[in-house]
Parts: sequence; structure tokens; C-alpha cells
Amino acid sequence: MIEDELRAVFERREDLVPSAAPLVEKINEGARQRRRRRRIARSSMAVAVAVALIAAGPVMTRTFLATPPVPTDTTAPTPAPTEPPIVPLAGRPANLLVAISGLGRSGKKDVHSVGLVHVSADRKNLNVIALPGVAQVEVPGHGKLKLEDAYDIGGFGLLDTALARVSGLTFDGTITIDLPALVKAVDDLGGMHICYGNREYHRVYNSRPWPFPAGCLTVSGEDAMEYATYYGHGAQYMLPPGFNFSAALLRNIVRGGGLGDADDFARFTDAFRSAVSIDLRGHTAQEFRDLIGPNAELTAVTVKPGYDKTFEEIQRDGEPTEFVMPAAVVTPLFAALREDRVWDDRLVRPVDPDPLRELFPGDGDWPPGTDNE
Amino acid sequence: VTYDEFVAMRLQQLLRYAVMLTGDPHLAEDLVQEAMIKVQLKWRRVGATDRPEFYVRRILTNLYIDWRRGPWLRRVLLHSDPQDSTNVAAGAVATTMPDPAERLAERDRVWNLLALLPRRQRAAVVLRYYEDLADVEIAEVLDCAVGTVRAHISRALGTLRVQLKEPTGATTGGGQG
Repeated sequence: MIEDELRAVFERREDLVPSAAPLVEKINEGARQRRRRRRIARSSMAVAVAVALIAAGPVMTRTFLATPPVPTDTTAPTPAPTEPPIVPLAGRPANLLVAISGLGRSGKKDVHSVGLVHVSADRKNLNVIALPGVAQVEVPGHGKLKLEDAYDIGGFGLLDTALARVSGLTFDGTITIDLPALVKAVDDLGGMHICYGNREYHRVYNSRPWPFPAGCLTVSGEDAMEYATYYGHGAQYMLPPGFNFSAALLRNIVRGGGLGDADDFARFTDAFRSAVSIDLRGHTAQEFRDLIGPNAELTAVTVKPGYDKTFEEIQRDGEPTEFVMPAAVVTPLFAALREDRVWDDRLVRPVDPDPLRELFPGDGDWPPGTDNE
Repeated sequence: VTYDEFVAMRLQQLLRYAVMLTGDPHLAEDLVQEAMIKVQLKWRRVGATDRPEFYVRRILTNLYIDWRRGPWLRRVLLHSDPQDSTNVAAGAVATTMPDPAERLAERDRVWNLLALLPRRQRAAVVLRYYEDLADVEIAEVLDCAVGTVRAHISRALGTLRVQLKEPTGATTGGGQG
């Protein structure tokens, strides 16, 4: 009987099975890398968004200006307006939604980082806020969804709905950044030029020098992302050189960094065309470009999903590995953005004794400002 | 059950299943590693289910079915040359009382023929004849109807029977679906 043969052959072939012991460490290392990729996607947002903002504004403007005006057909019937009127950006704060994609191991865009950019009404302050993609929010019609899932399922439309509900903000445009393409674009430009006024030291371990001496150097796209996301170890040491690097990089870009040169400018905008796409939602390219004032100060804010522990440590301590957006710390941030106040805490982490407490359990806590502020 | 406990109890068993599924210990390790990374990242959800091992086996099976054809198909498998084993087996079919060496060769041939089956069929066969799962459970793993499971197995057995009666040359070529 063929069935008996199959059973026998399977039994006989058990001698092919290797020991599983060496796999354990490989699995743990793989999981660590996977978590790290997610973290990099999240925390490199500040750099990516700043580059996108600066690169895409001119790109949009050039495209916009280069396109000849389309003759108006006066005989065509005017379609009935279906969209709400577009409120010009000038003189008011602006908010943009951001999604970073393209980090999937399989090559699929299956890892996303989401966040938002808030530009103050006076255009002097720019907050780039990276949100944990795995944070869950209530989305009408979908129940509790991770932010990254909301983006996967419904693109910016659903993400907009989800974030508008928890933040009370309205969004004026969207930015999509393909991080690998961005890294390549940086390399195509010959790297990122960065200057430090002083030698950088690790904030906590002063004896361990951060690899940048005082002066200027050029780093590759991969290194730029790596340095921008550098952290110390341990929850209490999360503020650090990575942010300093990002800040230095951004200052460099904002304050010249080669963009004054026409050829450099053209190379820059062309290189980033494939990495960044922007939906202005009816606003003009010039309005978009004007979002960055000449002396804009950028603050990168990372909303951490929880304490910075390894998976094993979280397990050891019996803490859940999934979490809901920690409203206790996010709500004040969103309130500040709604009121156009400067938010200068670069790392927003749960400080509540129960950091994973869900503060959006029902209608009672909504909208923000009723109970939690 | 904690993740570590699950690994201690089930990892070797999962690897064994993966080897039977793929026929290739190296690919089996890759698939188990990938599946367990997913499981570790989602352990809270996986561990909360009644039968986490069932959920993990499903992930593993799906990974096998969806695994891209790639260089691994050209890897050298750790078993005897199909040509040699099928030559021996061809003679064994005509024998009423095959000696133990011939029976081993026949099993080698069956093992090699498994590689010709489409992946879903092979998965169904392994789940029934190696893991001893009921058709309902196999249907859950493969995410299909019970009738489909029976059809998979029936076709797989039919293919194997036909191939075992074929002359040696007819069993070469093909690949996993």
C-alpha cells in the first residue's frame, strides 16, 4: 500500500532532520533584527522627512512651473464641487501625514513607519513626529487597528481617519517616502555632508567617543540612516547622539548644504524624485515650499511604544508585547500641536506608572481634552 | 506557556515536520527560522491561542507553499541518486517478496517522487501520513475545505502510484507546484 510506504519513508527520513538547538539563537537574532528595522524606520523619519520636505518642495515647484498652462474649455460644464473648500496654508499651522515604506525583508513594502509633520503658523518651528506603527487606535468600522495596518489597508485615507480621531488634527497633505530609495538617492548625490562644531561624545558614556570629530565629513546614505538612528543602550539612555546627528544634518541641509549651487540643486531634486511622493491635497507647490521658513528650527520627536527593552526582558517582566497608543503621553503632544505650541521634548515615552494603559477605551475619554489633559 | 517553553517543547518537532515538507534540511531550517521569527514577534497573540503549535504549523506550511522558487531548488539534496534508486525499484515492482534492500530502495524512490508533487498536495500528504492529522485539521492548516484536502491527497496518491509503475526515465524532471 502506498500509504504504508509513505509512513515508512517519512519515518526512515527522520535521520535527515538536523538538531534544532543552533536555530534558537538564529531565530532570536532574526527577531532582534526585525525589531531593529522597525525602529530604524521609525526613528529615521526625522531625517527622511526633512530631506523630503526640502527636496520635494523644489521638485514640485519645478514641475509645476515647467508645465504649460492647459487651455480652459469654456464650453465644458462645470462639475459640481464635491470636496470641502481648500483653506490656504498661509498664516496658519499646517499638518502633514507621513508614511515610510520599503523595508520589508522579502522586498515587499510590508514594514511601515507613520508619523506627522507639524509646521507652526509662523513657520519657525517644525515638529517631525514619528509614531510607533504598531500602536493601536480605534478606527470606525474597523475596530482596533495598528497604525501601520491602517495604512496597509486603506492608505492615507484610513490613516488620516485614524490619526485625526486620536489627535484632533486635520491634515493638509501627505508624504510617502521610500526609505531604500532615499538611501540610494543620498548615495547618488555622493553622500551627505555634515559638520559638527564640536567633537561629539556619547551623552552617558563620555569615555566612548561618538565617531564624529569636530569639522565636516561626508557620510553614505546607509551610514546617515544608521547614525541618525543611533541609540545608547537602556531605557534611560535613549536621548542621544542619533538625534544630534539628525539635527546637525538637518541644519546643514536647511542652511545651504550645497543647495545654493544651481547644479547641486538640480542633482538634489532629481535624485529624490524617486524616493519621495507628495499629495498636496489641492494646495499649490509654492504654498508647500513656503512651509519651511528660512530660520526654521526642527524638532524630531519620537513617540516610543514603551520602555526600550528587549523582547526577552519584556517577557521576563511579564509585560505585554503589544500595546495601545499610550494616550497619557501622546494626548499632551497632540494638544500642543492643535494649539500650535512648540513641543521640544524629543522623546515622548510613557511616564505613567502603567504605560500601556489604554486611555481611549470608550467615548468618555474622547475627544482629547475632555478627561486626559 | 511562554515562548521559551514553546521553543523547548516544539522546535525540534517543527523542524522535523519542515524536513518532511520540503525534503531539504537546509530549506527546512530556513522556513522554521522565518516562521519562528514571526511567532516570536507575535507571541502574545500566538501564545494566547488554545493550540499555539497548530498556529505555528500553519505559518510554516504557508511559508512552504509560498516560498519563492529560487536557488534552493538547485541545492543538492542529501539522499541517494534518484536514478540509482528508481532503477532498483523498477525491479522490485515485479517481485512478490522483495528483499530488505529493495524495499529501502523503493522507499527512497517514494521519497524522491514526493518532490514531484505540487506543494499543497505534498503538504496534505505530510500532514496526514506523517503528522497523523485528521482531514478537518489538515483543512484548517491549509485553509481550505475538507473536500479539497481529500482531493489533494487522492491526486497525490494517484500520481505516486502511477509514477511507481512507470519506467525509471518517466520520473525525472518536474518540480514543486
